[in-house]
Parts: sequence; structure tokens; C-alpha cells
Amino acid sequence: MFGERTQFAWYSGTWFEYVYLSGRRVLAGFAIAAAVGVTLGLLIGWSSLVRDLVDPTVQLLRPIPMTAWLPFATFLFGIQDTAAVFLIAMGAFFPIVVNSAAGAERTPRVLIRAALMLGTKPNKLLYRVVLPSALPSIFTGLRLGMGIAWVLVIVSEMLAVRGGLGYALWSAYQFIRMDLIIASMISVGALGFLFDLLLQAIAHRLLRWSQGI
Amino acid sequence: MTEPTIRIACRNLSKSYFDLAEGKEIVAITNFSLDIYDREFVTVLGPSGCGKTTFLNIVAGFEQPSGGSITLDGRPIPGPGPDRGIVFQEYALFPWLTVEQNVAYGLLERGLPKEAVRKQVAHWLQLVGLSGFERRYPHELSGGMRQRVALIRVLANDPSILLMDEPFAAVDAQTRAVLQRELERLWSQTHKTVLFVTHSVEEAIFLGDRVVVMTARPGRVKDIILVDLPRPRDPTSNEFNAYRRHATRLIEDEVKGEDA
Repeated sequence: MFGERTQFAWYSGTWFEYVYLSGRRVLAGFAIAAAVGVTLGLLIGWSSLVRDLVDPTVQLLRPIPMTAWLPFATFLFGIQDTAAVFLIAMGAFFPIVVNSAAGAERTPRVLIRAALMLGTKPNKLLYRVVLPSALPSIFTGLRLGMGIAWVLVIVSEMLAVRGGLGYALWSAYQFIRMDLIIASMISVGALGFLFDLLLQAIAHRLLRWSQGI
Repeated sequence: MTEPTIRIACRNLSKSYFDLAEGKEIVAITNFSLDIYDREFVTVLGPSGCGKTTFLNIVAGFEQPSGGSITLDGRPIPGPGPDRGIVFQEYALFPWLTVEQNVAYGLLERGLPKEAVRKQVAHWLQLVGLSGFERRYPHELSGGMRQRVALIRVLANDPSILLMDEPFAAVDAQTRAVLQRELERLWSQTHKTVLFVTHSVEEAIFLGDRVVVMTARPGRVKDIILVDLPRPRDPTSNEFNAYRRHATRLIEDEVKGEDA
């Protein structure tokens, strides 16, 4: 990666590998955060019992800055992917769970009643009414979570795991290579942008009904 | 002719609840007694806040009465269910479903095969002139169209009782007149038992076999007007006006009484 620059060595062979490593960590952490965050958020917003049981814990953990979890994660999982994925999942989880809960809580009561009178069983309301009604709010949470995921993948790669764009960034700094620092920054920015675009495209398809309301 | 069957029977029904905004106990309805017969179109007319919606919500199974008794076909009212279709004032269409998905909702919940559902939906949409709007979302429709969808969404589900909570209050006067005629036409074809709540005197007389006039809060039955006019009724006729005058006076007494 830091070999002598020659006319032909414009590609050292690590960019794609590092993009893949970072992207994989982000996706793994984000997927866990989305699955747990949306499910738990809907339940918190829907059932006061779940809210009373879970919400205090969520609110207690939320003020701890995500970067402060890094030593904890590394101690627990060692210098490997799991530590980074754990950190990313933790960080993305909070905006997702909070926004999903808020969306579920705002489900219009009249829609719940409409579903019941059309024959929906009470145990299906969460899936039939609360989830679709909360979808715009859920996507707000997912986009925020994705942003945090990219912050955390860089932090954890700089400090805790090998490989990836954050690792390249830190290495470039240590070798005093401003060109590589900037190249890494641009790469991270572009990837974050691309992932957000992807989420927006999915949201656009799923939320066509809410445009213009 | 045989004695008409009683579908809904209320005896001294009452409902009170604690209002957080006003910080006190509110008696919404009290001493409310009424029988509703099979295939009858009953309109409930009353000043705003008189508890007519509360009564409807009790029949719907959304709220429990605080006292008295109410039965549906001789049994206590169960929770909300597809036997009592409700048309809400605020439409209450699922905004994430298209027009056809909204109409199909109840049919699919009942587990009907897809092909049968598709046919039913097309039939009902055509009946209210909404063919061609299948793929639209509710927010892309006018108020009148939304309320048509809400109405056929319920009718497609074939409930035996139709509960309507000021369904046409949010649409303009012309559309309201059209919707009233459509509702009357659909009712004369399907002959459901209809309980229709409104604050419009004209609407109550135009649609109702009987008009139940309620008192101001706490709501009781003040009077029941038997509307003996052939359908479809002509709101400009002298006979219609006589009913209107009578009902308006009853309501005015209530509004004045509350102000005093």
C-alpha cells in the first residue's frame, strides 16, 4: 500500500479489499441494529407493558457516547470484526429504536379501530396497522442509524481492528501521506453517501403513499 | 306482517368518563333507552357534544357502558367485529394501501380467495363510480371519493349493521347531497340495519326511517320522529319542511338550554 510511487503503481490492490471490509462491517452491524431496533421500538411504542420494562434501560444506556463502548467491545471480543460489528450495532440501534417507538406511538387510534371493525384480530394489529403506519418514522431512524454506523466503522478500524478504510486512514496518517488521507476520506464519504442513497431509494418505493400527505 | 325483530336494545344506558382536560367526571349519556329494528335506517340527531358518538362507539364495541344494558340480537355487545361495519367521519382509510387494497382489506382478513376478492372489489368500485382509481392512494382522492371508498370497504365486508359517525360532515354540500343519495340507493339494495349519527337536521330527515333527537349533554332520547315520507325524499317539499321545522325546534331548545 505504501510502496514507492511509480508511474504504474496507481493501484496497490487494497482499495477494493478495504471498501469490502468496511462495507461488510457496516452492513452486519446495521442489519442487527435494524432488526432489533425496529422490533423493539414497535413493541415499546405499542405496548405500555414493554415500554415500562425496556424503555428505562434504553434511556439509561443512550447517554453513553458510542466511542466510549470501544474499549468494552475490544475487551469482550478482541481485535477482530465482532468488536467493530458490536460497536456499530450498538450505535445504530438507538436512533432506530427511538424513532420506531415514536412512529408506533403516533399510530392514529381510528386506524386501529378501523382494522378491528374490518375483522383484524388484535394480535395482528402490530403487523397490519402499527408497522406500516410507523414506516416513515422508522426510515428516519434507519437513515440516522446508517450515518452513525459509518462514523463507528471508521473509529473502530482506526483503533481496534485491522483492515478497512479507517485502518487505511490511520496508517496514512502515521506514514504522513496526505494524499492517502484525503483519498480515504473521500472514499468514506462516497460510500456513506451511496449507502444513504440506497436507503432512500428503498424508502421511496415503500413510502410512495406518504408523499404529499 | 310479522313483528319486526329488534337488533339493538338499550335500556337506561349511561356512560361517564373522567376528562383529563376538564379535570372532572363527564356524563356523556344517561338514561338512554332505544330499540333499533332489523333493516331500519335510524338517524341520531343532536347538538355537538351530546354523546351521540359515544352511543355509536358503545354499539361498535369500542367503549363499555358505565350503566344500564345494551344487547345486540339479544346478547351483550362483544368487542369490535366485522358484523358491525363503521364509516368514520375522518374516513380512516389506511393511507399506505391503494383504493383497491383498502376495499379488499376486510375480505382478505376473512380469508377469501384472491380471485373472489378481486371480483368483489371491482364490483363495488364500479357501483360507486370509482373504476379507474384502483391504484390511487387515499391522499390522492377528494373527500367525497375517500368517503365512498370508506363506505364500500365496509359494505364489501357485508356487515349486518352499518354504523355511520357523521360520515359526510367533512365534505362540501354538493358532494354531501350526492353521497346521501348514493347511500340511500345502496341501503335500499342491501337493506342493512343502519345507525347514522349526524348534527344536520336535513340529513337526519332525508335518510332516517326514524330520527332520534337527543338532548344536550348528558344525552338522553328527547324525542323520536317517525319520518313518513316516500323515498327518495325531496328536501324542498312542504312535507319535508314540516319535519325539518319540528326537528329544528327540538334541537334549538337544547342548544338554548345549554347556553342559559
